[in-house]
Amino acid sequence: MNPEDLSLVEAAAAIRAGELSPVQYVLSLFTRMSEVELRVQAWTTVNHEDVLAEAKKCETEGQKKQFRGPLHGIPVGIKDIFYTKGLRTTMGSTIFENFVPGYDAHAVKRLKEAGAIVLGKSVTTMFANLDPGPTRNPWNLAHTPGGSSSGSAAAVAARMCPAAIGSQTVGSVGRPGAFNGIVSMVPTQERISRQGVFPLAWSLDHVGMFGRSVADVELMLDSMTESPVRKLPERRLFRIGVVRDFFYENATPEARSLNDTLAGRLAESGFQVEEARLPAIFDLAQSTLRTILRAEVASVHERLFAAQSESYGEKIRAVIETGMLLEASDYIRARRVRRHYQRDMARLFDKFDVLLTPAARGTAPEGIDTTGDPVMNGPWTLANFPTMTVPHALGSNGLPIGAQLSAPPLQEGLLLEIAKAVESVAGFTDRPDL
Amino acid sequence: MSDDQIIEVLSERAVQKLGRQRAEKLRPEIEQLAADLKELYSVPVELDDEP
Repeated sequence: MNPEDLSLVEAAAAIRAGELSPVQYVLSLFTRMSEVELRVQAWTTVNHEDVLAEAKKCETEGQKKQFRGPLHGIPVGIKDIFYTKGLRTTMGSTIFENFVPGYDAHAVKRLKEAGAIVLGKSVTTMFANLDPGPTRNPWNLAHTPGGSSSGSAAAVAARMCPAAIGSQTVGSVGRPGAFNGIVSMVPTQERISRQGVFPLAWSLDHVGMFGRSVADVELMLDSMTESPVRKLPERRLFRIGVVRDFFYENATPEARSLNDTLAGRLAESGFQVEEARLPAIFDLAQSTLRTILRAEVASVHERLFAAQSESYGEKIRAVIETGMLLEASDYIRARRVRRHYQRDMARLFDKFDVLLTPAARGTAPEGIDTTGDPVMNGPWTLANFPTMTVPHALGSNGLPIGAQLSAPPLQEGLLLEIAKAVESVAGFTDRPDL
Repeated sequence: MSDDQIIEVLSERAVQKLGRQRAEKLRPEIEQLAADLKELYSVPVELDDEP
């Protein structure tokens, strides 16, 4: 097997066993990049010399059986809104095209402490909003990879790195996870520090991650979490609530049908699967989310936008400008409605362990002038429920379809356990042919 | 306030803060913002719904 095809867990085990050299691993990923990056355009900055130097250090340490942590010698991609010491961090904006931070974001620091090597900075949409970057979908280059964590998801799918980190404020991890046929996770906001991550909207921003298996994502989470994730002591009968309200109205007929097929297979495999009905407050999810987003984005960019508004993309500019029209009472009202929403939504878990919906409206839309619609993800980000995307089928156009699982806040252990079972039932093994 | 009244208030604010040309260009977004605000004020919140 080629090193670039190894999962994160497989590569970590091979390095520890002395069967895979960190230098060979990095070189094989460089080769892969040289084969596909011109077409996919997932990276903003890759410093080959520094990456190779770090891999050599890991190799020397490994030869002495000195391992930094569970990710020793593993190259990972970092979304270009995470500060990286000594490595250019652009936020997807020309305003920051030459900005080199003097420190690492806390999440990056955690990854390095676990032994990971920063392979490079992956493309983000401008300021992690909706103005697209150049990245294309590895499954079909004429389609979007989704966003805003476009490069991270595409790089993992294209085998340029085994895992990458991203961020989600509305649907910036779940959607690209689904569009690229890989596993993604957005933990509860408190799980992973956002220190050193350029904000889009403070109260909604979450750090997330991508891998090619649930186990890979679990290892990334364990390496970055601020508090240990409690694992389930034993497998038991899991209750899955299929949410058709709203989500099926917004999904394509194909996505609805494939989601129902997956639900049926899960029921056949021993899960208790029933329909979950959303509370009335759900009707306000989109307006609440948009109002909080507008107000916080306007505040984040207040000074920068006043000085350089002409450097902003049309989509984020509209968010900032409408945010400038809000009054403090409107923002507070939205935050209070959010609290009401979170309380009522949490009651769904009285009956279910996790909730199942499509992760996106359908497969990745054609064209790269849009990153697709985050409508399936935003309600869970607003609730601050941890979510995962697991690929489970191909659409009729050959592009992947993902299932989205949501669990109660801080129940990532439960979520991971069920995601592993869903992954096993789905048996999705397709990959892009680049 | 009616939808039209909310849109009018927001549009006036947009003209003051962003200029007439930009305010006109933002008209669809302002209409969406007005609809969102109307919805947000349609639901009761309790004292323990802290922001």
